[in-house]
Amino acid sequence: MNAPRYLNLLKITLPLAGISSILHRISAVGIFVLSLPMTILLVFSLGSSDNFEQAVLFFENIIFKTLFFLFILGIFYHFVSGIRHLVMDFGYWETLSAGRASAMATFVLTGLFSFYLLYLLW
Amino acid sequence: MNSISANEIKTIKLSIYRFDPLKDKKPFMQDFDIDVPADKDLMVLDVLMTAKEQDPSISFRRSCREGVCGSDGMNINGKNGLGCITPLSDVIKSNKLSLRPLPGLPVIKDLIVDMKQFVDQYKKIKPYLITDKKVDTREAIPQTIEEREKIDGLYECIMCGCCSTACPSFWWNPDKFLGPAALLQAYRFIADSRDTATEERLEQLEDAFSVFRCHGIMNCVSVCPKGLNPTKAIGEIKKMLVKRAL
Repeated sequence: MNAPRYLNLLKITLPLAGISSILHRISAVGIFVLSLPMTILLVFSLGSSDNFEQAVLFFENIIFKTLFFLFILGIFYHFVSGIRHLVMDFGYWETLSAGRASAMATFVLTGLFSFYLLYLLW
Repeated sequence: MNSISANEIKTIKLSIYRFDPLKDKKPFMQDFDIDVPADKDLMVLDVLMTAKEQDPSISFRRSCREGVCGSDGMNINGKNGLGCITPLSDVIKSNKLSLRPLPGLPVIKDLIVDMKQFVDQYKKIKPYLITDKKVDTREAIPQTIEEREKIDGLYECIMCGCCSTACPSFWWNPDKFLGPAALLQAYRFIADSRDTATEERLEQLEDAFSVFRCHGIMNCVSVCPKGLNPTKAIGEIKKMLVKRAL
């Protein structure tokens, strides 16, 4: 018979470093999905001044603007979190307290950047 | 317990994962009201033993009751740990305690899991000294103090399985990723000056899964009841593998 396995991800707690790592992956998926439409829009906007004007109009749409905000924020988070992982690969920040502090620093930096990004976009 | 007066008792809600393969089609959570002394702390295992007095069919492993045998590993309010050395006051939330089996492994009954996958991975790392020197095994192999210190924080593992079953990489690839417990032990023998099989050990670990599925989320460090650091040991193995490849 098939024995059950207990694996309720909503009930199992993860340390801050674990949450940071999972968000690193989620941000990677988000960047991957949004990269193509954002690149297409960029190429389109560089085609002519008319195209650029049309591309600017996209930013008047709140849904597009929110997606763009999440895209840039995702890149920033993925970059900062990636540096954290690289530092760990060199053998630093491998204790639980350092892992927690570096994960918290990643969140704080991303939070501060999100305010700056909100200020730039809105 | 009989000598405790009523005002020294508080009642907690205990919720236990139940599954009997002979009776149940799927697992369920069963609730118990458990009286515990209000003026002193208990270990989670004590609470579980009290519940077993109410319902003797509750199944779980335990032996030494002092954090040495590693048999009562379980998921306590969302975090893996040993019931016998986890104080109730450290884990209870809103007067409720939920006990579930170690995540990811097949459940045999209630809180008892089948540790075969975990032990199979442990076997793969050859958890014994390998030496090509002709040594009389009845004699001690001498080490300097510095050499001996290199295995501190590694040899103390009691193989309770709390770390590996808290690791998402082990949940998704229990047959390919060795898991933090086995890798901590792999490094324990790599770091041991008496062991001469470092090359063979590293060669066995250099595929994409055995070690490199660890992404440093540190859940293993967070749950280890002995305070060990598998993430650091895995990092040391990764560095040796990279150096070896260059």
